[in-house]
Parts: sequence; structure tokens; C-alpha cells
Amino acid sequence: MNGSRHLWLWAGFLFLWTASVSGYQAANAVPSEKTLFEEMPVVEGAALHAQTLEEAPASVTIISANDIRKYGYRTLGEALASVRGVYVTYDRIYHYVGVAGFNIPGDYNTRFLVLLNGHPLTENIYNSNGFFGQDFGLDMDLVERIEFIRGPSSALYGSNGILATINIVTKSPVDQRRLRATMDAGSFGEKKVSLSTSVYLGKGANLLLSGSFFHNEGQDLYFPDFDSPDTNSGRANGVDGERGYHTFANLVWKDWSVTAYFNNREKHPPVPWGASVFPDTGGNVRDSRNFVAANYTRAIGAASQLRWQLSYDNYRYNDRFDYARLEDNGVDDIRTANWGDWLGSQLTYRVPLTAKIALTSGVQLDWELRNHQMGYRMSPEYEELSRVSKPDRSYALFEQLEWSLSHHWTASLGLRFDDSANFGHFLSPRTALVYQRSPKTVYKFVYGRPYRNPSTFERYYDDGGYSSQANPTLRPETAHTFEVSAERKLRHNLSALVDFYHYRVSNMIGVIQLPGAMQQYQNSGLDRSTGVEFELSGQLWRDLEATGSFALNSTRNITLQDELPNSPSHIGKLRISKSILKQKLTVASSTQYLGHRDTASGANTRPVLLEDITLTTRRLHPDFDIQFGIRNALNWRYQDPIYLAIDQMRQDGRAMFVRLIYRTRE
Amino acid sequence: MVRSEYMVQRILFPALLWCGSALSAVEPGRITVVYSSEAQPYMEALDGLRYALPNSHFAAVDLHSSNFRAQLANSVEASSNGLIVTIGRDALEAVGARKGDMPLLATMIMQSELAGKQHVTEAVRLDIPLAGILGELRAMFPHKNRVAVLRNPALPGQVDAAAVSRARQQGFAVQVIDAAGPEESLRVLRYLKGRADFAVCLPDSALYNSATVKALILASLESQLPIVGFSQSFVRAGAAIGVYPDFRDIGLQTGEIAQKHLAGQAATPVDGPRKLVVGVNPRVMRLLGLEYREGGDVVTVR
Repeated sequence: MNGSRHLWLWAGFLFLWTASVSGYQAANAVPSEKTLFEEMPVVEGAALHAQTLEEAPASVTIISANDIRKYGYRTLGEALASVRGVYVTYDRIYHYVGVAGFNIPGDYNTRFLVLLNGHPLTENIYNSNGFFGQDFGLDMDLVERIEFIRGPSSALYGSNGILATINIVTKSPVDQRRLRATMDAGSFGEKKVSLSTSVYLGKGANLLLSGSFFHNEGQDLYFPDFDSPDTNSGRANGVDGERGYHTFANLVWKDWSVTAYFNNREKHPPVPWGASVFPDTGGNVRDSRNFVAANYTRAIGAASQLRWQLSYDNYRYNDRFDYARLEDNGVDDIRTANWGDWLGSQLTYRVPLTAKIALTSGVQLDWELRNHQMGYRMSPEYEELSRVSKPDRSYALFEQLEWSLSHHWTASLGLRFDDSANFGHFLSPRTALVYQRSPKTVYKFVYGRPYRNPSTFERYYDDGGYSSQANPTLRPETAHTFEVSAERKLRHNLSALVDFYHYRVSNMIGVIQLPGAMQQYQNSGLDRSTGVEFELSGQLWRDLEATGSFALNSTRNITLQDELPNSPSHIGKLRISKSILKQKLTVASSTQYLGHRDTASGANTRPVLLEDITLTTRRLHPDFDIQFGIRNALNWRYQDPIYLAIDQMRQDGRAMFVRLIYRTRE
Repeated sequence: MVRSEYMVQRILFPALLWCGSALSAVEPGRITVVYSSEAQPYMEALDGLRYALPNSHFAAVDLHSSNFRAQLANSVEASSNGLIVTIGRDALEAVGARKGDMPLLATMIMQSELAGKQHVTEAVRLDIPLAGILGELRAMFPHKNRVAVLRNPALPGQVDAAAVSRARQQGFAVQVIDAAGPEESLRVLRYLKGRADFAVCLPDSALYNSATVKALILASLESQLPIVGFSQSFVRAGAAIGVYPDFRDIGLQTGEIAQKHLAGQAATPVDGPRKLVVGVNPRVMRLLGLEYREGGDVVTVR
């Protein structure tokens, strides 16, 4: 027994000695020629890429700059419509993105987050992330990639991070051409010009500047619901136009990156809001979402990193809708003016505690200067109908622990505490386990308890009896989310994925119709969404690339035992692209199928089958390229469920566009 | 007339070519090349070697083929009075023990690997002398002359006094600073902020590898100190500049030495790379505010 113990001791000593000697040898190894061939990872900081979430322990879809170019995505909404399980609805004012079957008419894109280089775009009136058309102030040419991260993110970002997080990463100034200009023209009077430049300012400072103007004339539309002699026989002519501008600037210098984002869009709504008149030739909606943010990132030691952000954001919203006055057959010119301004700051510090554990700690402060909502009658005589301002002050503390449990298992534990003057406090945990079974197969298990606070609009807005009534008792939504995904590389450049999810949302906030064409936001009971998604993607043959996905989903209100509106049970996607003519031309096809959807009134919309085709030249001429696209090539007639005076909106038929791209040579 | 031209071009000439190649195939190959197919640079060198040597003098044996030993033995046996060429260290190690009396030309190898290898008659090494690196920097940045060289004290032969003296003759103010490990190399980079125009990193797998490169690149950006790396991969990772051998040209060079050897002419026992590639990372160059004189063999690495 004693001898055996000594044997073990000697074996242990021998092992340690061997390990120490081999470690020493490794440290002092004479360099072989393989040192010259060793692959080294590209250091993101070398391009000063903004914060990325790509390594998040979740099911992630990446839309690259190459995808955007090949498939001709001109808006963020078009790009997101290509993502597995996602669908986009348009009411001819705003686009609404559906995730996991949730896209309830009347909701303003409030259950997911959109970030621009890690900076949340959520505004402080409607808590909306709903900028997916030309109201999104960044031209798609500037996008390096879009990260679509499924699952909860309240443990990192607080309110609204229930279903997904969409992070848009812009191109670094050092990656941009000295000069790039594009000119677009398309069906329905679409026109857009954009110009971007990247300049070296000296002392290592690089500046990217971009701006664009757009003017879309829109269509003359017919609405059978308004087909009467008093309402122009249901015809809305010349009231679908849209115009505005985008500007973006990014300055990088040493450890600093300063971003400025200013834009404005005015849209004419062809359909009335509530009981407003039809056709409303004077009606318009104007949005402006702007921010300036400074980021400081510094590596401390070999593996720690400090990151500090300071930002000023603002949001402006103005609308005008005319309402019929019964007593003298005149109209009341009713307007809304919202001003939101806020300051924010976030400090995060990432430090490896041991070789296997890394901790990220953070603190965030948000200080709303104002979130002012004003409703007023402009004519026949000026009268203020409502004035609401409830600026919030909030802070949050968060921690995230990444723990390599073994060679195969990694855990990610996150916890965030939010405290707000208006909405109280909330604790959001998230747990993710990643099981890397082999280099080819990975399983992910994610649980989270995210939440969303009611928006100031949902809780406080009241326009004195025209359309909306306040509800100061509105409570936050909370959710339990479960997600399991399995990804497997079938062969080089071909991978398959299965993703199962189950979301339970309590106190879901929804709009309720009150007598007299009034509306109010109220908490409903329990809603749940259960679904499974499949995806196969890769290079099928030479440079023929394809991605196909299919999603099955059931989203129900448990309390009412009813399917939720605008929630298709089947979503199919297929994207194929191929380079031809010695890589000089890329042909891309994108097909989307949506099963039928219910409208808010219980009607049923027809399934949707959309086929988009895009042809893009690649260096056909050293300075110029050209892109041509057909959207809805099958001319499929379909309607989207919406929430305006009608509950479904007919969408565009076949449309075409052409784009001329000029850029300087490197 | 046209018909006879057709006969010559389409039938007679190919037939002669076929006969020639068939006859030459019967002759034993006089050079056995041992290579490893595991890395692209070896294949580039092999490509250069193929270009320099006629096929009839050439038999290539892959170290990773299933019957490597038998192939090597057959080829060596058939190449009496010939030459063995090894590409890379693994090939040299594999051949070293069983080469017999046949002369051996080692290529794509570091100088330090040649120590004690008496059986190597000629060699083409990969090491680039400091003077070579500085010459490239001078061509690109005529007005910058403060250079720091990071040296691992465990590898004292990397930079010697003669190399420093020559660099000073070239007009450079050179500092050689010891960095015993990755942490120390970070400290050195921060110390050099404002004190040097470039930090030259010499091949060293202990200091510069996939685990250490991130912190090093970030420290370089923070200190606004461009790193001069030793490989294309290093430049892609974030070194501003890289100076490394042209592997295909090393193959050509090796082929020319082999031909000289077979012709009985004297060759330099150990030769260095004659053609260098200068890679630049345009992103990092812009971040560091470096503008350079373009031309020559400067390639953009993204």
C-alpha cells in the first residue's frame, strides 16, 4: 500500500517535472520556419470596429456587407426580411418587424432592440426601435454587417430586450473608399443620391462622412373600405410620398471613436389615423432620430479592457391629421409634436479572473432631459389639447460571467439590475450553456427573464378625446424565454441548424379600442410563442451559395385562448446567389413565403410568396458598377395586417430599381 | 502546303514531344525533392523549384504520403550521383537519418535549424538579416530612422553587435530591447511610445503567436507605434508592415543552386532569401497615420 502511494507520488512528480520542462522548452523554443506560416487571428481593434455581439452565447444570424451588396438590400427592413423566422409588415408609414411570431398591430417594435455600433436606437417617447425603411438614418452601403441575435438581452441592455437584439456594425473609416457616390431610381418615383467620403486628418485620425437625400413619390392607391362619393371613391392620390435625408459621421483617433447620426424623414400617410379624414392631403408624419456618441476603449494589461461611452440622443416626431367637424362640415387640423432628449453613459470593464473565467462589469446612467408630448389643434383656432412630460432618470448595474467549465462546456451567466424613477426596479437574469460536442457540432441552451417598461406614450398620452386615452396604471411586461439550438457543419462550407424556442410573456401591453374611436394601452394576460426553425446554408457548388430556412410557430394569448394577429405559422426563406461571367456579374434570388395571418378584427390575409431578383456587376468598369433589381417579381397580390383606420394594407406589386455606383480607385 | 504544315503541327511535333518525354521518363530523376504538403508556403517553394528545374531531373516525394519511406528509398536509389533537396525542417529531419552519402540541399529553413547538421552541403535559409528589413523601411519611409528591435534574451543570436553596427551605418538609430515574454513585450511597446518610429519583431513563436498577438497589436495602436512583423499572417492580424521572403522565389533560388551543384559549379554554402515581400496593412497604416512611398514589391494585406 505504502509502495503504491510512493509510486503515485513519483508518477505525479515526474508528470509535473515533464510538464514544467516541456513548458520551459515551449517558452524558449528555437523558432522554426513554421513561425512564419502560423495563422494569427485578425485583431478587431486594428480596424477599430465598433462593439460586436457576434460571440454572444445565442443563435446568431449575420448579414454581411457582401450579402447586402449581392441581394441589393436598400433598407434595414429588406435585409432583416431575409433572416430566418423574421417577417416585416408595412402600413405605408412605418415598417414593423416580427420575431418569434410577435408583431401585433398597434405595437411599435418594442420587444427587441436595435443597436448602432452597440448604441441603442430606442427612443424615449414610444420606446420604439421601429426604423426599418428610409426612416433608418444609415445608408446600407455603410453597413459592415448586421448581427441578428435571438433571445433575451435585458441582462445586458435592460428594458425591451425580450425577443432579439439587432446590432448594426458600420464600416470603419479606414475601410472606406476616399469617395463613393450612388444614384438610385426605381418604380413609384423612387429617387435617391448618396455620397460618402473617408479622409485622413493627420496624427492617426480618420473621418468618415456620409450623406444622402431621397424623394419617393409613392403611388395612387385605392381603398375599398372608403369607396364612397364623400371620400373620393376610395382613391388616395398623391398622398403616399416620402422624402428626407440621412447623415452619418464617424471619427476614429487612437482609443476614441466618435459617431454622429442625424436624419429626417417625412411621410404622407395614405390611410387615416383613427377617425381622421380620408383622403387627407395635408396629413404628414415626420421623424428625426439623432445622436452623438463618444466611445473610449482601452486595453489594460494583456487581456482586460475598459470601455466608456457618453452619448446625447434626441428624437423628434411631428404629425398632422385632419378630423371632420360635424357641426359646420369643416375640419380640425390636429397636430402632435414630441421632443425627446436624453444623455447616457456606460462604463464596462472586462477582466479575466482566472484562465477559465472572465468577468464583465458595468454601470449605466440615463438622464432624460425631456420626453415631451404635445397634442394641439392648429386650426380653425389654436388650442392645446394635451401636454405630457415625464422625463425619467435611471441607472443600472450589470455583470456577466463567462466560464469555461470544461473543454466542451462553456457557461455565460448575466445579471442586470435596473432602477428607474418612473418604472421602479427590475432584475434580469440570463443563463446560457454552450456545449461544443466536436469542432463540427455545437449546442446552445439559453434561459432569460427579460422585460419591457411601458413607453411614455402608452402610459401617459392623452389627446383630449380625439384618439388616445392615458393609462397611468400600465405595468411592465415580463417574460420567461427558453431556447435550445443545435448547429452542425455537414461539410466544408455547408452547415445545418435547428432552433427551438418557447417564450411566455406576462402582462403583455396591447392597444384596446374604446367606444368613440378611442384607444388605450392595457396589460393583457399571458401570451406565449412556441416554435422551431430549420436552416441549411453554405456553398453548394463552386461559387453557388444558398441559404434555406423554414420556421413553424404558434403564438397564442393563453388567457383568451386565441391566436395572436399578424403571426404566420409558417415562414420559408430561400436565398441563392451565383457569380458568372468570370465573377463580373452576381445574380441573386431571394424567395420568401409567409403563411396566412389574422388581422386585428379576425379577418384572414392571403399567404405571401415574394420573389426578388438582383443583378450586380463587380468591377465591370474600374470606377463604376451598376445594380438592377426586381422586387415581387411574381407580382403577388397580398395584404399586411396593420393598425390604422383599416386593419390590412395592400402591398406593392412588381417593382424595379436601378442603381449606379461610383467609387474612387484605391 | 497547308496540309503539310498541319501534319507537322498536329501530328509529327506532338509525336516527337511524346517520344522525348517517354525516353526521359525512363531515365532516373537526378534530384529527389522531399517536401511537406501541410503548408501553402512549402507548395509555393515547390512550384518555384519545378519552374527552375526540368521535369526530367525531378522527383518530388510528399512527407505526408502513406508510403513516404518506400518512395524516398526508391527515388534515392534511382538518383545515383544526384542530390536530395529538402523543403522545410520536417523534411530535413525525415531525410537526415537515412540519406547515405548523397549531397543534401536544405531550403525553407531557419539558420538556427542548421546548427550541427554537417550533412547539409548547401542551404537556403529564410532568416532575413536586420539590414534587409531596414533597407525596405528606408525605401518606404525615407525620413524615419528610429528603430527598436525586440529581442528574446533566450535567442541571443537573433540580433548581434555586427547587425546593429551595420544598421547604424545605414543611418538608423537602433535600440535593441530584450523582452523575455509576452507581458514584457507589451511593456516594451508602451515604453517605446514616442521613442521609436518602428518596433521590429523578429520570428519568435514564444513571443508572437495566436494567443499573444491581440494584446500586442492593441498596445501598438495605443502607443501609435507601428509593428514590423515577419509574416503575411502577422500583417493581416494588425502589424502595420511585414517583411518576409517570397517563398516561390526561394524555390527558384534553390533550383538554380541545385543546377549549379549538378554541373559541378561552386555554390554559396548557406544563402539567404534574395527577394523580399513587403506587406502593408492599409487599415493599420491609416490608423497610425503612416504614409509611405509606394512601389517595388509592396503588397496590400487585408
